[in-house]
Amino acid sequence: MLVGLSKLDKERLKTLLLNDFDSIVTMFSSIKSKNAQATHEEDRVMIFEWILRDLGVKGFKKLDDIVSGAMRAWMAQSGAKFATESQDADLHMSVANLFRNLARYNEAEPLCRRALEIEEAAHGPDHTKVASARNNLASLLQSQSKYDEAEPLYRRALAIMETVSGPDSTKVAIALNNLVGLLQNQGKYSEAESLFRRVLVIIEAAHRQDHTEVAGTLNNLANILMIQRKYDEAEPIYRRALKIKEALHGPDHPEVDNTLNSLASLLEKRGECDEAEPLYRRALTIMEAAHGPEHPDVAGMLNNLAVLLDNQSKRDEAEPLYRRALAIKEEAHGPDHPNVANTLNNLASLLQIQGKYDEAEPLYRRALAIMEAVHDSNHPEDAIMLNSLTKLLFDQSKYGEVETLCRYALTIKEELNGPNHPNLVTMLNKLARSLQKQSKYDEAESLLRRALKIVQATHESDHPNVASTIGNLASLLDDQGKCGEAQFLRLLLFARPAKKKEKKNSNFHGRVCGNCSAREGSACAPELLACARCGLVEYCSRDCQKAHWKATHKQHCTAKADRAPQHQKETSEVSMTQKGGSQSAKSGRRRKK
Amino acid sequence: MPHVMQNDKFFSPLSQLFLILQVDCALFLDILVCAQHRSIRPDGTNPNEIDVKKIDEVIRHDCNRTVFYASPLTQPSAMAHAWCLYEIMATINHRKKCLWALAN
Repeated sequence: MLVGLSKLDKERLKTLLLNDFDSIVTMFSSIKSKNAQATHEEDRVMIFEWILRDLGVKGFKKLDDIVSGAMRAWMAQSGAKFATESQDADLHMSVANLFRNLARYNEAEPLCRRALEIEEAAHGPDHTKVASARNNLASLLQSQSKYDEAEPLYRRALAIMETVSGPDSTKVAIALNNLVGLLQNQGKYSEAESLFRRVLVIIEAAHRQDHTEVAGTLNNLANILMIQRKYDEAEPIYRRALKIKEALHGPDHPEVDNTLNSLASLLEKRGECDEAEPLYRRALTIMEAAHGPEHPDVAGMLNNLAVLLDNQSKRDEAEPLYRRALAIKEEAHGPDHPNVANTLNNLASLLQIQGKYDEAEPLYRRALAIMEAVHDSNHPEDAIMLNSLTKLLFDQSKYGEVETLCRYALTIKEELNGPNHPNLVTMLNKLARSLQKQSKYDEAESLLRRALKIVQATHESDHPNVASTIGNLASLLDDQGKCGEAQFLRLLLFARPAKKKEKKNSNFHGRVCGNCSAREGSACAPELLACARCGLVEYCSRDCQKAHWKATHKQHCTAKADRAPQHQKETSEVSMTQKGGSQSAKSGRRRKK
Repeated sequence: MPHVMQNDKFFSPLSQLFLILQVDCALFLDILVCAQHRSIRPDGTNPNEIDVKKIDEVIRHDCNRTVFYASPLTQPSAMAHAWCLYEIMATINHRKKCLWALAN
């Protein structure tokens, strides 16, 4: 879509943009085709029917998105041209924000940098406007995952605000919040927690104890504690936030459902499912009343409740909830959206457990097709979906197809983790078993020996992966008539209980650093923390995270909000007070461990 | 058959439109203008029903591009007209070129 202007009107538009860029952009990008009129009502009705017929049930939204997207792109292009001719830092920032909203970061960045230069030249290096420009540039870099570049900018903006407004100013709290968001992205949870506690002190001093900002900050602090698995510390903080929100808004207000969901999730993680269930149900009721039963956020909550019930083996209750969540998502996002894949996968898993393979298989295949279409190249989510599907096909004795899918999934995992990572073990075992079933013994044996080498190098001998790999190899050797060696391997298995007893107090649970494969609980990896962006890979240190990011992870890391994990929770609590306001990402999802 | 499908009103001088279209001259065929303001017939049928179908066909088969006259600059009326939006949809659907001619 092109936009043309006469020379005279170009000058008029330039004046308009320079005077009030944001409101012009809003006007051009807020098209509501559903509100369009015609001289005759009959014509309007007829045309709307044609739009819905041609573009589907989401026809109006599609049309709005296409037209407003084209107009915004053109406005950004025009604005950038006008900005280069001006010394107006605000115009530079407005155009940069427009490019940013269009995900055209490379075009936004020079405008942000220029805005900072203009402000520094006009006000000196320590002015609040400079702090604001630094903050904006940092935020843009953060959204491009350029964390190391963003950090000094946020810290400098914070220092300016501390000097200008005093260390206990609410403006400092905003700057702290921005920095904390970045620290979370970087996996620096400990520092993030400490800064959130400082924010809480400032906010509590500035407002009443029962102020909404206090509740929001408490939520944020509890969230960061949850990420660090400090559940016992997080629980009373969530409960205090909940109490404030209930007192401020009433027990059935939509503000409450976020915290209810988070608290329920915390209780579920601690295995207190009986207490979590009524909280999920209450959050669901509030959400349905606030947004209507067909709202996408309701689908997320239905999904969370269904997972809880599913995990408690209450599958008859869980199944209709999954189906309802699926119907809402398909209606809201279209049938090929990643959010749909998430629930498809969950429902398929439930059906598989119930032995309804014929019903489960097409759902898995559809989920996999959606995720493959979303990702440009091999991606961990694809491997997860493939894993689900291969399990189902194996149960149905479709070994040839299992082999094909396993080879594909193994390629993805090898690209992601390298050839000797413990993440490969399950897929190596599966591929070997499918080959064994097809009497392709030589390749199966080679794969199982490779898997055994990996697990023995990375796991304690009492780890279940070691036992299952030895068991699979022994079974394969039996099939080949190599009974002596099989017997020897089984003896190794018998020797395991003594070993297990020795390691009774080990705190190793099979999790390893995504870079160096150091085991959690070992001296060099006392604690593993997940990548804040995708949550899929864990590291023993910041150095390992950096090294893995540069090596491979950068190409595969997908933000939690952009992906559809298997067996996944949809958390509604990612609220974060940033840049002066509270945000809540209701559709974010969290992998269920 | 028309080379360009025109949509809505253009308030600037015609010469300005030529500049936007990047043409030296143009021939406007009023006979192909769709009358969108006819009332319902006495028998209750809508005379514009056939026109809606024809607009789609013309854009699909015979037009090189569709030009939307959007005036005034600060609030283009075409964006609030059901007919105009339908024509945009048809242009997008048939992957034809679409030019917004903004004018004050």
